[in-house]
Amino acid sequence: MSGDQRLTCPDQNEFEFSLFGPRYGESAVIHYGSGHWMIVDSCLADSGQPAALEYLSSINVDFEKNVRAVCCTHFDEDHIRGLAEILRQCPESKFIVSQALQKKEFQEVLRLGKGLNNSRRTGLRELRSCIEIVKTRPAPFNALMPAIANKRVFTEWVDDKNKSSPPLVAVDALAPSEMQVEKCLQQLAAADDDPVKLASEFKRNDLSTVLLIATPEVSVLHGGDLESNTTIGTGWEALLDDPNRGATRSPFYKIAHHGSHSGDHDRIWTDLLDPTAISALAPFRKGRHRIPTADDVKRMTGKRRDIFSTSQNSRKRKRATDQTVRTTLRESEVKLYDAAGQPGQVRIRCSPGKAPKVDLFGDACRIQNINCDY
Amino acid sequence: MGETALNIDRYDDSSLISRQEDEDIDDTEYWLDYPETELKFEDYFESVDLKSARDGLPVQSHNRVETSDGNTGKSAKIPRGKVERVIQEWEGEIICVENDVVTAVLTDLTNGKGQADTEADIPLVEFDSRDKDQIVPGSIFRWTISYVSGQSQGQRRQAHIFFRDIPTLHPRSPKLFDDVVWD
Repeated sequence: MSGDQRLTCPDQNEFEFSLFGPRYGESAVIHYGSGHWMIVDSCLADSGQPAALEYLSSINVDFEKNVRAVCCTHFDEDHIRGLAEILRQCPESKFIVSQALQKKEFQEVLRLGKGLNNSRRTGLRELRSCIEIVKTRPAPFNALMPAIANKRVFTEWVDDKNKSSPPLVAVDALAPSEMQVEKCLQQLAAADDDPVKLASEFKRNDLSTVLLIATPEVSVLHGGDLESNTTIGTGWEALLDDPNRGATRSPFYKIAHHGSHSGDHDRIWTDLLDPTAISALAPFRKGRHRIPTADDVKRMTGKRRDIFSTSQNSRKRKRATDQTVRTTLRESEVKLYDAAGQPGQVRIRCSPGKAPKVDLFGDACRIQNINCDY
Repeated sequence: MGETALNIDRYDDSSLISRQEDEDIDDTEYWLDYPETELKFEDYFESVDLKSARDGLPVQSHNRVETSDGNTGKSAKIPRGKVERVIQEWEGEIICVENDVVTAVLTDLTNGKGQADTEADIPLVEFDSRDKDQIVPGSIFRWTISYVSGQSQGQRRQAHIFFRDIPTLHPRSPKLFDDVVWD
């Protein structure tokens, strides 16, 4: 795929779902029509800019006016880096964030700052920045849209001034469930006033938002980082058993939690997705911890044929620039690797009445080509 | 460094920074001349300004102590007249410990952009055995490679790893949600 082809803007009535991911982090952009976009989560490109904005800029999207919604599924570092910059540069976007943040206990979690480990600290700091940016905007863009299961968090009509006109897009939150939020509150209560314990006990994936982003023609299920849970009323089980959930089976799926076993559930594939659904994931690698594993790839390829990854997830050696540092590292048998990795993009475009088209850019590949060796 | 922190008193660093006069070594480096005193480990990490480090300013991250045992800085004292030049400094977060190898994500505080863009596999033997309780996923450490030179001996290279574990609260956050509007 040449760079030129990447730099074309979708047609006004063409749906696009693009997933970006270096080997650590993910972000998605959705073109739902009329030149309007939504961004879900954020990761950084090589330039240090949010990957989503870098891409939109490259295809000449005026994101200041045309990004209408930004969602933070949850505040893990690999999903939130650069989100404050996105909100700063997209001042007319609605900010969608977990309803859990309305609870004092979760607001208290945001007070945790330096002294925590890097990833926790970075995620919390970024979310604080997001809230501070949105607060200072003029109405109606100064409001946070709370996401909770069975709540419509964003709607845009074909005629924005006439809300009885057909919807251009409707975004529904499918998770987290009320019970999930309650369970997390109990975890926080158990942690008492110990900030380190608080941050350690608090599993943020449990609060991940899952979105169904639907136009009249197509839809994409964005699974966030939601995981399965043995507790009744929580995790994927709560979503799948929810009698109020619609019957939509999406043709496109952002695979939950990087394709891990814990982020999967058989009924996602049978109850929520079209039999020929195209899926995409952003793999995760931090140190030797990699998702998906070879078993995960085998499991997913048994579900659908067309599953793509934003990265091959390989581990590449890195060289220190200073000779003395290199000597010291060699003597100590220390090996350095590139942690950020080359970002890739899986792009799915679909025009009304036509078959969807998948383009892979950068390090993106089919999941069978992911490097699962440690 | 938790309970095994260095027991060194705080001092005014600004009075200690002096320019190195040795023409043979890059004279743009700032050197720190250490008094016969000790610095609390907590003070060291609280005082390090990451932004200044990224901006290339002569920050207190050059304020490194040499250890009497040449290892990780327990009961460290810097004899008067000894100077240390830090040539590389990282902040690291331990990701996993497997097969006597510690894997960490590093942020380059010397030449980097403030991003954790490097991973390192570090043999366990490079860590001080007294830090064994800290060698777990999530722990934060500073890792420096430096030259130390003294009046009576030549320059020698050394590497230090220091752990920290100091939870603090963000000072601006209590009012964060005060005037938030929910849709």
